[in-house]
Amino acid sequence: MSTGGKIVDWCKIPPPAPKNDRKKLLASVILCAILSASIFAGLSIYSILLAGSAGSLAASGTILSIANLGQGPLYLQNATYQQIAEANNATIQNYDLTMEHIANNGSSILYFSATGFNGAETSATINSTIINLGDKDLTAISIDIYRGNNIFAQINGPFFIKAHSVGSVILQVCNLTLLSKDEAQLITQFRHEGESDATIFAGRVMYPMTLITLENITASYETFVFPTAYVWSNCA
Amino acid sequence: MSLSIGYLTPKQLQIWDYKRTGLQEASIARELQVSRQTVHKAIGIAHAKIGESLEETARINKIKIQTVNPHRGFLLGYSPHFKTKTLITFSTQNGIQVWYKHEGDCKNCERLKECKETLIAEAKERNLDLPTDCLPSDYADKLFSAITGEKD
Repeated sequence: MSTGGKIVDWCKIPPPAPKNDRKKLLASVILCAILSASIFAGLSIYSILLAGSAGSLAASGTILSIANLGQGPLYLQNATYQQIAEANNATIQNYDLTMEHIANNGSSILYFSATGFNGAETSATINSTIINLGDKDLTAISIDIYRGNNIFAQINGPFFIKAHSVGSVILQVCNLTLLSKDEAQLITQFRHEGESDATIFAGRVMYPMTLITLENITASYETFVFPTAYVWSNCA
Repeated sequence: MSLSIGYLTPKQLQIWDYKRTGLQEASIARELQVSRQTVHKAIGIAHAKIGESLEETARINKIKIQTVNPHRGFLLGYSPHFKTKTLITFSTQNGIQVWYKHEGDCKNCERLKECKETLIAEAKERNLDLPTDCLPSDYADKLFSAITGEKD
């Protein structure tokens, strides 16, 4: 496609960062410095006033609290939910691969999928997609994560899933190293026996997750996390 | 196994490549002298891994995902940072590649040759005939339209 002698097309080299952004960035840095100084001063006084009382800080209603229920060193952190797009049937097509499993379960309103990834770290990020194809807003109250048949972690809402919307829950699973020892043993056993095992898929352990809403609609998916023993983590 | 080859084993990569060219599972099984079930399972695994790799690459590059297609090996998205459409491709020859749509200057680019070779390899794998005397931008336009089914 040609525009005034220059070519607008696909290129391996990313375009230069928009120049306006640099000015905006500088302005933002100055503004942030002024604001943070005044907020810090304000918070110091506020915290003295609130000393002793339990408080929580919510950022745009997207931070979810996490209850760690099960045994083991694995823990979850940084769970956020964010609406990312409008949903329609074409959206489902785009997520065809991960949605297939759920569609078989007969849920035609709420779709939930998850992808766990990373091959050589002690942490893994799980990215769950939630698609609400229904005409009503839903209130998610919990995402339960199972290890085998036992619930071992829970992400607590509430968070709102707008009608006809696609959203994304992203959370980190940390400290996989010790956990992997158990799971690695499972895999070894699986490979020796050469039999199918519901908890193992392609060398990864499956953690089933269930999303529960206030309106009594549930959607489940089995997510995957690589069990590895490398020491590298960006978990806090 | 690394991200650049979609975490696939050589065998999974081979089976995925056969499948993408349109070969039936039974034919792949005959070709590799394995059971059709093995091929079916390997394809499922390959699609899952490729999908993850494409999404992982998108996250690393802060690209908003619009479409993911592990069967054809591409992810179409948008880079809010560069304010442009972005395409991530996966092929056996080139592995994972990230492409940005913007005003380029192919004629004066030092990566012209490398870029052209990458695109020709990508087209060959996908059984697409491209003329040999074009700039990479022309190749890319034809190739990516064919891959994604999108027309500008």
